[in-house]
Amino acid sequence: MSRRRTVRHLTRRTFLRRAGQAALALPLLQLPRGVGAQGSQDHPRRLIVFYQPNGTKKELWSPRGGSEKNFEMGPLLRPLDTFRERLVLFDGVDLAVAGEGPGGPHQRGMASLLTGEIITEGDFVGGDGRRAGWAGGPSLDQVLARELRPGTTFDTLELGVRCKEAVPRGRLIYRDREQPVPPIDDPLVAYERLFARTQTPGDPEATARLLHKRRSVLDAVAGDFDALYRRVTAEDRAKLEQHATSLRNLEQRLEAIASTSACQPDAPLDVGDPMAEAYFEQIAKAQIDLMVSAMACDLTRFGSLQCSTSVNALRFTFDGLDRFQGHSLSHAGDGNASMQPHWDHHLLWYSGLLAYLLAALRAVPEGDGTLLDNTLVLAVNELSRGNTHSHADMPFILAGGAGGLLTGRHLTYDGASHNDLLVSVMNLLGLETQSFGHPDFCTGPLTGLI
Amino acid sequence: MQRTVRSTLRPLLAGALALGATLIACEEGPPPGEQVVVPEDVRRLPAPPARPVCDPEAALDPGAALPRRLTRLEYRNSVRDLLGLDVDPSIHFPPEEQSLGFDNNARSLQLTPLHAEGYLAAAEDLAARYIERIDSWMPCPELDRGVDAQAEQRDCAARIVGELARNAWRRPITEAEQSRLMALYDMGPELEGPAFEAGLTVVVEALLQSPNFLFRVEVGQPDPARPGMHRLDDHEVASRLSYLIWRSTPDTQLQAAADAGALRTAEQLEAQARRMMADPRAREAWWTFFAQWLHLDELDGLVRDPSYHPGFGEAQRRYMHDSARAFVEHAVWDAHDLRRLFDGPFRHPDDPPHVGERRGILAQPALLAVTSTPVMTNPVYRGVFVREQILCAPLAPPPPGLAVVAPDPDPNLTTREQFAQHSDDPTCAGCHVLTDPIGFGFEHFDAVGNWRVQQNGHAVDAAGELVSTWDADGAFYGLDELSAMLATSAQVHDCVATQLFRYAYGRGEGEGDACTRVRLVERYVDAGYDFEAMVVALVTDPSFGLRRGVDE
Repeated sequence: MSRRRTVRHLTRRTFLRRAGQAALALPLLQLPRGVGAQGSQDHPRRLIVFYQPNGTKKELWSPRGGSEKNFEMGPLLRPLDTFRERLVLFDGVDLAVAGEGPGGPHQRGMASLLTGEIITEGDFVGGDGRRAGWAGGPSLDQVLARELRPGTTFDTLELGVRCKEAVPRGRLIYRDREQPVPPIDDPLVAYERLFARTQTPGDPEATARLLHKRRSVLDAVAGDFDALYRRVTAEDRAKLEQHATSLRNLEQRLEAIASTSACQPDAPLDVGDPMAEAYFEQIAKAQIDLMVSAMACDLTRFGSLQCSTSVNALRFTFDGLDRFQGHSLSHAGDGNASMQPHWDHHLLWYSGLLAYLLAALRAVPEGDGTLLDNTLVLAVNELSRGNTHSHADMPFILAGGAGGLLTGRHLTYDGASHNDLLVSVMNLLGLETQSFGHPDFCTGPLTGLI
Repeated sequence: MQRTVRSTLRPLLAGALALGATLIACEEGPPPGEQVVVPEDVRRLPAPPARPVCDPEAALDPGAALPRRLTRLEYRNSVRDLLGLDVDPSIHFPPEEQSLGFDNNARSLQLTPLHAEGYLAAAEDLAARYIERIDSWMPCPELDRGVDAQAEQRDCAARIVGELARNAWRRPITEAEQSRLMALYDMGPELEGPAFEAGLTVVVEALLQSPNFLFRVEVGQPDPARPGMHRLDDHEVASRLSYLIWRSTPDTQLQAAADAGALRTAEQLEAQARRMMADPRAREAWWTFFAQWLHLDELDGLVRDPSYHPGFGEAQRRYMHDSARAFVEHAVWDAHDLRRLFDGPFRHPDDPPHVGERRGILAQPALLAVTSTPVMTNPVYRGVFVREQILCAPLAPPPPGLAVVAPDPDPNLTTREQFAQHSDDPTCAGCHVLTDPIGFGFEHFDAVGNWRVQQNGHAVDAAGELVSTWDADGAFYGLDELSAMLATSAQVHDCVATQLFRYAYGRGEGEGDACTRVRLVERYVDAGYDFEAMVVALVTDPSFGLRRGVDE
């Protein structure tokens, strides 16, 4: 906003543009090493949610033949072949809770996907006489951070790629009921927030003064809430408490914010407008690199990578496909010979991007293994199929390792509720719980994961 | 239902009505995995949305008033008017979550840790810049700023702090608040630089991060005449007015009126509202309402594929924006008649002479572009736009398990023919009969708003039909006829009032708001469809200074 900031920003961008040209040839080279110690079994356990939009085609996604461990990857997942032994592929898990509540199938799917809750009645036009609001509870990453309290600089990290629409069908992460968390869509902004925070380099006294001042200011601001709380309704108060909670969270991070991160990856490239279709792939990969770096540096343990939004108006121009937008393709009829190959191409590309994430995690050594060994990746989609808006038989994937997950498997359930999968994920990350989200849709952890 | 349709639409409607299965597509369907069961009597279109009915006997229900966080625009305007600094803090803050198309919905506005970080950075930056310019606004210019004059400096600081806090928080401050702020000022000597300036800088930082600045909290006092309701206090009313009309903080006159208790009668409120509407800030602020309502804000970052629309770039986008804004503002501020928003004439410089004038906002290139894809028009988008934004008639979600299919492109067909093929599928047509025939009426205008009579070697057919409205049902040809139908439709003007209501109150309308909405429309229609009259009706309505009571 300020001239100073703008200049700093522009300078950084210019610098990064130059530095980036070298980095392009050698991706991942400068990723930091994971914090877990060699010879120890006690590494941090991490979660990365990976989201792709608008459903898939399960008939080309699901593994074929064989058994739980002996199967051939479905054609749409071929780019993940090299990680076959690190995956758990799910058939027969339904997003049943998204069948309830107001709003359209994309809205309901997004709101329920990581919260396991029914979408609330709110101010969004649902068209059926009711109005859709936001998710009815917190997403699992936020709950994990709150319950496990690993003490990292950032409780959670939300990175997005072209998440343009600030509406329910564009939001995945929720701090709490009706409290969506927007992802950061610009890798340069994310980088600055994560790794380039310092404002008083090399001057401990100035840093101490800055910290003292900021603490005093936040203390004074905290005092303002008490008077307000006394006057307002419970509903009003909940709104104000969001602010107070965010300030407490900020207060805890003041020290980290005022100091340079010792653990530093390469800065991302400045490719230009992060919302441009043409840079979608570059931005996505830059965000993945940042997420992996943040995990390696133990700045956070719970992250999400949201690749655009449901109902996105995104063409894969970076891949030479200029005619169709992703959401339109997802609606093509099964027999539409001109559009289905394009849709397959999009779906394959997302599989490739997931493979890029897994490769980036595997490239970071940690202890005797790699970051992938200690990171659970949960790949999700708000629909099973685009042209029917189905929430049955969702294309969920778990990848990597944490908590003893047995991978290299294809698991088939008979209409299990995805809430149970979310419970399992929480268990794998070390949070003992038997239920998550709406209790009517939860029976406890899925069997057979460990 | 018996319907008379023009032959061009017959295939679509016939397809829709031929099978009993059709209109189920517009209603909630069965859960996933179950077959769509076809009821006997589904050969009907969905009813138009209900008209608001005001029961004059019913008790006033002013609705809740959740604290409203300042939006990025409101933050920017407020610091401009408070500190005289015109900067864009938006790079610090995440974008607003939106509801009902507006960015100022109280329930949807969030304050995440990312926001808190942004507010910290912005406050420090603004405070430093404000204090750098201290000599331009110092109320005690004779003050000795040396180290020996600390007592005098503190007296002056107390004045500055009291006035700044009062302005930033938009109300008189308490003694406890003043002393809390002065305690921050007293940190000055511990900080870098001269103590007086350093102390004031810390105070400004705290003011701008306080919930008293970042939120508009409306509490008021129980109204003895209206049990269960609170009457907002005068300063809360002043803020309601200023953030409605200027999207900024109250000015000196408004504050003075609040101090004097002169924001209570309808006459007082009307006088303030009319004064404020005449201020240039009003034009700027109301543009955000129209831009969001009419999706014109989507021009930012609008992409057209060069292989389909060569040469489209910033210059054309700028033209689209300026043309649409000038057109909207003419209807609002010059003609004082919002019917002209829908049917007012204008000329597009690139139109061939025989086209003559275009009519209405729907024919503005900006609107034609934001309702298209990068490569082609989309009659569905355009139809949905008219139903949801202009008629306030939202569409039902598609039922689970129903295939919803995009058209198969064929370079030898017109867009209309491509979409019509798919509307032949009765399961699609059930819903698409509500949207596509509206969108077909736009077909003389391509995805950048250029006029066309032929597409892919075929003549463009812009015959369309409106169905399922209160009072505007009927066939039409092209946008001029559609716009003329909309301009005189009571449903359209009721929808304008609904949109204004949502924007003004930062929430969706409820049953208790029916009388307010009816009164808004009455005053607006009586005044010849003058938008300003509707704004005046809003701020002088009995519900304006009230909120539902505190439930404790």
